[in-house]
Amino acid sequence: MGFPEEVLEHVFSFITSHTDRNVVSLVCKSWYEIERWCRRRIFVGNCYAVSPAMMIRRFPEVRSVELKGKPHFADFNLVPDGWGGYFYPWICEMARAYPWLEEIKLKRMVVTDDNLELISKSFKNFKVLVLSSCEGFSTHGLAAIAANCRNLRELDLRESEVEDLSGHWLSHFPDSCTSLQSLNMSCLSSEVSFSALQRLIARSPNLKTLRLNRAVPLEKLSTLLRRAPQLVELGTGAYSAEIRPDVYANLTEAFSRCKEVKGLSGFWDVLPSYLPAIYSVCSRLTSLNLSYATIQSPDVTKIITQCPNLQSLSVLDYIEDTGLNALSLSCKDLRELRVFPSDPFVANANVSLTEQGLVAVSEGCSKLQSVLYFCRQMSNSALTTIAKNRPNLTCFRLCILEPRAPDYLTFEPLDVGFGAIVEHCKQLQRLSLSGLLTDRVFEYIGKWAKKLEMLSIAFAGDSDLGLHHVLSGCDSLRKLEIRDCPFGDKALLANVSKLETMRSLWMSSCSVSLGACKRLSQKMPRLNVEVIDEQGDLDSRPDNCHVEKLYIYRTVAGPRFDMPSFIRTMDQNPTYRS
Amino acid sequence: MELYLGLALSSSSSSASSCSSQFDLNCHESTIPVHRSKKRKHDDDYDHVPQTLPLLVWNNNFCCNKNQLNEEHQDHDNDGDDDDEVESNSISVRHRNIGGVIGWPPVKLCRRKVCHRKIGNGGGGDDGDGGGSKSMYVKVHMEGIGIARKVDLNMHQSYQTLVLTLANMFGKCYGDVKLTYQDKEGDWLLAGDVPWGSFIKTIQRLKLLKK
Repeated sequence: MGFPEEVLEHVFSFITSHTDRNVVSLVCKSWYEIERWCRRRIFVGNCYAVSPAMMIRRFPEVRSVELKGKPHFADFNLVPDGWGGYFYPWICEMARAYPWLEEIKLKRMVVTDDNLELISKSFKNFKVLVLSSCEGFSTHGLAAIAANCRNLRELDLRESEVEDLSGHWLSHFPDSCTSLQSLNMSCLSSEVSFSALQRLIARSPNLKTLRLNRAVPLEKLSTLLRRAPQLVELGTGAYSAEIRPDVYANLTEAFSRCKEVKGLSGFWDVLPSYLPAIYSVCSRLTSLNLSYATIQSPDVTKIITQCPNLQSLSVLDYIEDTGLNALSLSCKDLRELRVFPSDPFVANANVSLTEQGLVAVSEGCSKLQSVLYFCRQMSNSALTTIAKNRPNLTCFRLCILEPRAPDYLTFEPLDVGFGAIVEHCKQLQRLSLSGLLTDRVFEYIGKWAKKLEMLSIAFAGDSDLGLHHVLSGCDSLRKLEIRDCPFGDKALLANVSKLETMRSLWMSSCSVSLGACKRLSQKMPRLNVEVIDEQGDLDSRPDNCHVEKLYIYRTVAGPRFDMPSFIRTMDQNPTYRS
Repeated sequence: MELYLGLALSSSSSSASSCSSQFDLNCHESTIPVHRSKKRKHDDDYDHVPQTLPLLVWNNNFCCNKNQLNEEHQDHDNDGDDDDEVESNSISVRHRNIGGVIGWPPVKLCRRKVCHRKIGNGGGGDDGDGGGSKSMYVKVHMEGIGIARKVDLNMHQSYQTLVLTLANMFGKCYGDVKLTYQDKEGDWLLAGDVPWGSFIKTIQRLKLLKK
């Protein structure tokens, strides 16, 4: 094109979405060159899809890197320890190549204290560290970050597993550090020094997000809130204390001063008597996470009926159908609902939460887009009603607690119900199935779910045909995770090229044979076909034996070598046999 | 609403299926064993027993038994050597990780810790599967009913859930009962006045009274 580089660069700076930037880079060689020099943000959805060296070679001036490691099913203990997802090779290369790096965001990766220390010492302008569902580090690593990152803006440890050696790490923030805007330490259990916390908050005028951990006592919350009336997102600590009028009064007053608060979370160990203290902020709330609050329906209802601007609600099933009904009447702006089980391992219902609650919300909340719902019964008619009420759903994750539970009214499979969901909700991007399902539901999914990007399947289907429908029909599919389904070789081998259009496929406790894995790997050199088998001794197994777990992903980096002995990448070149 | 509880017992048959025999709570002895049913009840059972709650535990049996309502698909590879866990007197059949389905339901570790938080524990140090190994069973009597039951107090963190569970246990409505307990000193007190933590430390036995 005739424009000088600087002009193009300036234009490109307005293009922020990763997919758009990728498209831009494909227009022509000069655009590719200009684009790669001015790309500032990188997202790598699978850390094994590309090597750090490749990333650095192509994009030399990056300021923000986001990586994801383990497969999603790692959240549910299906991925064995030692699987991989190490941050180490990335930080080694980036420390050398990206001195101006400002942001690191990791999900499901293994991060060590040494890695954290290296981050804290390598990047002079380091600002944002988000460790989501990560593990492998301790509070010592956090101390290094606190001590050395002079311009730290954000430290978010959401749901990571941290070896909690002491709360002392927080005291390592120097007095000169005043840049903090966001701190999420909710996953930690140790008590931090309260005075250090108080002083840190007091000298952080831009602090917008503060998520405390359970150990911060309720009696002291008002002290903190008074020093941060500008907070937008607050996560409380344990929400109970001895019933004392002065504590209650202080808390109520402190909350009433928080005019900017839009989101609340925390609420462990709730003592209902203290809940009215938050009422003054309810009318402004757009986000409320009560999913750790073991309070009964009347108490939950009292809160949510005061939140007309609520957009996102996470709650335990203690809310019951009555509470969800109240939600549907009060919160007309609701976009996202997540209902978690209070007693997931018990067969009979401990609460009166059924499919009716979800139906009510689907009727009353016209903007509802995203649902995560755990329940004990479902029917095709309810699912169909929900689908027709809410064709604007983009995420529908239903977990009926009992595997293979049929429609509780008709005892039929739930194929028709889920079929209605995919047929009516044409923008559906994410779907999780449960209940009794035959191959028919996959026929519907393959036919209708053209925008579906992520699909989770468990205890479903009858035969390979089910998997074939999905692989051949779902045009936008990127991530597919399957457990305990009778899917085998045929569907996989009939859809090999599809697998290269996806990020990854996980299959565990299915019927895929070792031989099929080998053949797949030989046909598709740009896939890593990894077999996980903890019973060991893969070499001596016959080709017709079923593999325990299978993880297939596209990659330009070739097979990885950081695996434990029970994970094997299938040979891509059949002549190399050990 | 009267809840009639049907407890499916396993019977001896070649394919490890179970027959279902219902029995009335009140006609049985004080220890009412709850057997894990290895197969779901048939459709006909739902016809003549209204409001029966099928008591089911998901375990490897569910993985193996495909489409359990359909006789033709009965799976014979069932692991018949699963130990029959007899949960004495607890209405909720507790899932244990051993013999259970790994990773199901799909609830993250941090949430499982909250659901099965042991009393007095800060929430950390759990074994991750959520099936707490500590139980705290106390005897519960219902006014007017001869048979005592037992309840595991460690499965509760509040009076409300406890009363709800106990009411269900005896087929009573939550609003029709009030809960009393006997403390360490032998005194009978109305439950709910002291914080849960103190209650747990002092309680010896429970009694449900009709309002």
